[in-house]
Amino acid sequence: MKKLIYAAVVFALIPVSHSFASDTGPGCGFGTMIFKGQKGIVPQVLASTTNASFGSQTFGISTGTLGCMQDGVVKNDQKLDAFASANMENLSQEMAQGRGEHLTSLASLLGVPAEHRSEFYTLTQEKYTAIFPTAQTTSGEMLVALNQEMSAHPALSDFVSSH
Amino acid sequence: MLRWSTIFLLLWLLLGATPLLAAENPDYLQELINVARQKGLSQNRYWLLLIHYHTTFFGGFTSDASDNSFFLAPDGKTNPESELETTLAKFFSDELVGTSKQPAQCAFIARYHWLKEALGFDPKRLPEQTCERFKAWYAALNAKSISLIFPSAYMNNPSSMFGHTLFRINQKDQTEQTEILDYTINYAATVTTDNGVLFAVWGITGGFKGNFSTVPYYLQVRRYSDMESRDIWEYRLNLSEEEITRMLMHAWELGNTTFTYYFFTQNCSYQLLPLLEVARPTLHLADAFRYWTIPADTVRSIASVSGLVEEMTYRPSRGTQIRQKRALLSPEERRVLSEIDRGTTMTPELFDGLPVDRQALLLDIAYDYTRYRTAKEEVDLDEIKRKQRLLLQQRSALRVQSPPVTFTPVTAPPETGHDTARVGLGLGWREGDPFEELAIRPAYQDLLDDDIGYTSGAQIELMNARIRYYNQQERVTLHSLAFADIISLVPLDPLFKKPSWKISASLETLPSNRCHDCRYFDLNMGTGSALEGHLLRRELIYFLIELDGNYGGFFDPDYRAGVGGTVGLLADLAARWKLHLFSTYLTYPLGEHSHDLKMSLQQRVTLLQDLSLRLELNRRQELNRRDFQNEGLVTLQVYF
Repeated sequence: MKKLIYAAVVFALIPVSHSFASDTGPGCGFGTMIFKGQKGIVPQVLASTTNASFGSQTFGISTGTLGCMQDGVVKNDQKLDAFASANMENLSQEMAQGRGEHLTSLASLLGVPAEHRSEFYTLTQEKYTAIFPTAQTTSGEMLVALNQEMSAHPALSDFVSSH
Repeated sequence: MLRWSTIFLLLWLLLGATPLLAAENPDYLQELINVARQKGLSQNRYWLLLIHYHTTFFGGFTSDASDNSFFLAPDGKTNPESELETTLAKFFSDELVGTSKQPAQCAFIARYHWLKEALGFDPKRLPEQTCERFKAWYAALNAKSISLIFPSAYMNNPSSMFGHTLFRINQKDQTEQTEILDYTINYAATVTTDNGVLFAVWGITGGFKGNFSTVPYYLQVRRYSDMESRDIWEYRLNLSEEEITRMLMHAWELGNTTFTYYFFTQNCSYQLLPLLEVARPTLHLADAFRYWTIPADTVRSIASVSGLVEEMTYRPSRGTQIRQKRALLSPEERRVLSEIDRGTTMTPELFDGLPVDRQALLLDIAYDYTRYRTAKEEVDLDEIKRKQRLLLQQRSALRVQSPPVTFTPVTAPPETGHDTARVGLGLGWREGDPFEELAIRPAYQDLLDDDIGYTSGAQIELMNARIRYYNQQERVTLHSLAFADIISLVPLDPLFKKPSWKISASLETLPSNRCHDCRYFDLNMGTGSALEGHLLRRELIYFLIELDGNYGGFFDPDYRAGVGGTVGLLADLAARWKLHLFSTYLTYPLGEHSHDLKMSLQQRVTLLQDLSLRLELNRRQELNRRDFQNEGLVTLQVYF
């Protein structure tokens, strides 16, 4: 009973919700799906309930085929899209800054070998405005534009993803 | 006649529909069962671990797994032997079982491999099935090693106040720079309500189900590091390839079940421990946490196993990165930064005169500010997006790589901190009457406790009980019982404008001529602000405006409610010596008209990681008394 009392006291004033219960839509846009509308303190709380369960359905272990997921891991041919859609802001930032772990991870997913990474970083910084033409650029559009820039690059054209 | 033929047909269909290999080989199954019985395998610790059995009060067994499809025998939840024997029988079949809909050998692959080894399965008489789904999953995880991940505590959400733990599966082909592509093993509750009170009640009493998932690390980093600004500690564990395989095989099995989630006991941190025990059965970790599990304690428990932690790394949150990058700026550069931050138009004059790498740094911080804001405040998202775009365009035009910045942890790693439960033995004196005090606090940290490994300025105390024996009066009394007492002091900052706040519910006593120690229920909440200074070592000056409500039979009428406030100073006098000085004034216009004034000077010296000495001097003027009542107390505190 005491547990209940103090729990009620501590938690009563704090609204919680979950807008991410059934996030198994088509494709692999779980990045935008899970975090959409993330502004303000309320969604903050929503996104972090109970050590919380964002995407635990999507990523549930041995749950079979579910959209772009197979038993809780992203299907191989969707890894790039999944990663890009979930990390658009960080990719945009790191391309402009010429470095960062998201950018390195993107290069790794594209198969750009270590010896060509610095060219990749230089390219994405120089062509930043072409790769992210507007503030509303989607991850799909970004990847297409990135492909185009890479195709035109002598050292990077080999690593263009199949879009 | 018709009836008999129908039954016959049904029987035939049933047998025909499940082509039991066991039917061809009933002798071998019986042989295996006999050997298993001889060896007592169903009582073997490993079998009990795999099915998550624990002994009940009456001496039997019950499994923590709450999904019936996790058990192959109808009475599997409570009967280890029946479960083992049915499992053996199902291994002869390719019937799809469990929620994962696979043959038993694949759905429960850790059980299969353990029993195969323990009983030496003859592959001719019990053929091994190829588990394609498991193989694909295992290949995708591509495990090289396992890390324990600890996102530190997050005060502004009750469910994250104690931190969180998960495992990361470090992939063979990843470097430190691409570790965000790794998968994690995460246990979390599936929250099914948006009501705050229900959330709390169900979270504590087991109203939610929890399940295991493999969320990519980049999503975890995005959430903890970017959105909640929680620093992350990563501990790479020294597990052999065999141990990792066992852990992952068992994780695969856990996809077949859910567990009942309990916020204080069987939470995220608790549920990771059996996975480690399955990996290395000589570890005994979970037993210690059956009744109370605080994530930092499980980290301490894992870190204390000799040789288990191979390497520790620190991943600063975006908030920490901003603070430390900003500390690199000159006063002039700070002015430029705030101009960039405020201005919607382009570069201020001063900016152009700076070297290009300083320009880059300023634009990087300015961008970080916008990211921090989108995660923290109600903002005009379109406006912020426009601004971000301008900043990044300008930044990309500089054509230089941002120089790497080395970040230092803002606090020591959690395993170096004191344990979270505390017991104190004190000698005191109140108005000429000496007393002894026994104080017991199950969790977790108060403002004066050593904050090594904890969030500085954050207090979470649960069920803190102080019992006193007054020598002259010769009586034992419950001096106070704080159900919950939470304070968050956040220093003011141009960017990080979070308010400080407190909330508490407790039983208190106050001396009065109406009764010996008049007991009443106290509910208090407040909000305010804090300033950080470095005149001594590091000090916080704070104030809180408070609402206070009391209920007790001796009040006339039996309650009072009012407002007031606290001003305080919390200062590090030396590395392990802290001082807390505060004064609270409350006036009660509702119920019994009265006012209280409390002053307190407290000091703590840390003697050992789990031992400290505390001195407390209190002056209280309560319930309209004109004179002060003074008391002093020295307490030796042990953390366990």
